[in-house]
Amino acid sequence: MQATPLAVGCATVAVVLGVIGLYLDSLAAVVGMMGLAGLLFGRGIVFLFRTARVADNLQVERVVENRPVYLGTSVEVKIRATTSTVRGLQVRLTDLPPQSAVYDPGEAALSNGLGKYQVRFMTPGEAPFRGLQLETADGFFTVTILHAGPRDIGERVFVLPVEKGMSKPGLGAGAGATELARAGSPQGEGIRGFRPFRQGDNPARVDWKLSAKHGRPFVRELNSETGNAPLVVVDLPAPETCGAAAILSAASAEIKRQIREYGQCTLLVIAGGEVIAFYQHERNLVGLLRLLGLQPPESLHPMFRVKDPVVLMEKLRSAERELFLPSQRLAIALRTVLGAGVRPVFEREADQVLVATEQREVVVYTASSADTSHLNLIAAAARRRRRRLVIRLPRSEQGSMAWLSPYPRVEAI
Amino acid sequence: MERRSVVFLSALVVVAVGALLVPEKEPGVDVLVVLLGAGVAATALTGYGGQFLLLCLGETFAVALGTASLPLGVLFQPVIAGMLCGDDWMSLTVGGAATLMAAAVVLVFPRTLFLLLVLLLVSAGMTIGLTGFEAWMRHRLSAGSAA
Repeated sequence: MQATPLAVGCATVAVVLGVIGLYLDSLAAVVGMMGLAGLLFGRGIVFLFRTARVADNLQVERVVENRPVYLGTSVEVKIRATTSTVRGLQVRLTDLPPQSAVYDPGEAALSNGLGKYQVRFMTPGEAPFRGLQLETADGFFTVTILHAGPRDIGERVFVLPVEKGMSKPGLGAGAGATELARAGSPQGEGIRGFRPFRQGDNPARVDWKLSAKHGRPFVRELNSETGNAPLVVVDLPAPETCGAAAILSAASAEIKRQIREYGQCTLLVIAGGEVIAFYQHERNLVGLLRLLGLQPPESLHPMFRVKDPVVLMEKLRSAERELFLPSQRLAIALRTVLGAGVRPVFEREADQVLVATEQREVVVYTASSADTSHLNLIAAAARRRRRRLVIRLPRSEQGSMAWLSPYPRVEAI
Repeated sequence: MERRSVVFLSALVVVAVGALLVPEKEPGVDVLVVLLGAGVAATALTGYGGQFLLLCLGETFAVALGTASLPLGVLFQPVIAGMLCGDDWMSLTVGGAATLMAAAVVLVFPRTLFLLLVLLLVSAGMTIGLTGFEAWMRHRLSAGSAA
């Protein structure tokens, strides 16, 4: 419960009257102080009981259209909420889609108990709605409460993995946009550079002067709409990890910078090989920084020291050159691993995040030194999606990165 | 003119006249009551300064009334509460009653230090009670047992 400026003013006047009453031994001033204190407590009690009444009578009916729901596709959510009307109490309701979903918070606010908004589910599997955010206010107090009963969460949505060929042409990364089956590259104003034409490139981007000069097609690489702000990946460190504070501090500074300069930030929070949260074009700085305070889950799935395929290929070539039996056996094992083509779940998730984002650079903040498997998988996904990768880690951990993929640029904090 | 303003101004005039009629007052209290009463009335009528100025001037006027006669100062407290509260009867009734009862305690125990200590203890108790109720409500709603 928070006090409005009027309530704060009443309390201030009461305190001033109390001091005057005590100093001058004036009962007239004490009368005013007691009256105002009684007014504040009376209004506080009335406010909380009214809020409880509104919350108890809240009925929610939510419908998710376009079933079945596929990963990355836009679905419409219709919501209807009814509650008792209390005169003098302002009530504001906002629907809370699943944590991983992309939506416009402004659209999710209900008007006269009705709401309709677009939402995109960014992670496959079961996605429960978080309930409703109930805000009540009167002249003296305000309160915001999460209303997350079973009836408010409603029917659970199951998000299916994306199917090939179901994407339709479209642009943008908002809640109502259509997912493209390729790396996003929104049209910006400036040109960052040129590169040779690749299959799938937009022909409108071909720079004909440069193509004629070199005898082969070249395309313009445009600045993204977000001004080339990198995708921030934070690997949540265990609290006792050396350099954890430095990593979190550096990640916080980067998020603040992006919010300040671009008004938004795309953040992926992981803990080892687990994806904790993914926020795209998020504007809520406090919400993003709060994610960095989460404790990493205790039961992490071990990935048994996954190596980057590039490293394995190099080892395979080296082993094949050797004539000794152990080296030959190692070569057979490496060929089997490389030929299996099985991608871990985490790599697939990282890949999906990179497909959904348009950032050309990925910056990973990590203090992980024991196992770099997840970093290698991110590097593999970044290389596949042609993103620049930078890994920032504490200065003390630089020596322990011997098994790290050679692809990313490693920077010490 | 709104009905609420008419009631407020009528109450103001009644208590001001009552204060002027009280015998054996300190010198200058009559002038204070008249000047502050005019100021409060002007603020309420014009709306200048908003509720904050009305609150401050109203309480100063109540102190002047209380200096003339303590029961008059107590009686004016619900009038101030009525101007600060909204239009709904529940807020007006509870706010006015709570204000009147709290102020009337002074008439029963007319000792400044004692009253301040009592208010301190009551404030602590009420704050703990309200915070506890709010926390219980949050827990109940987030746990889903509200239904």
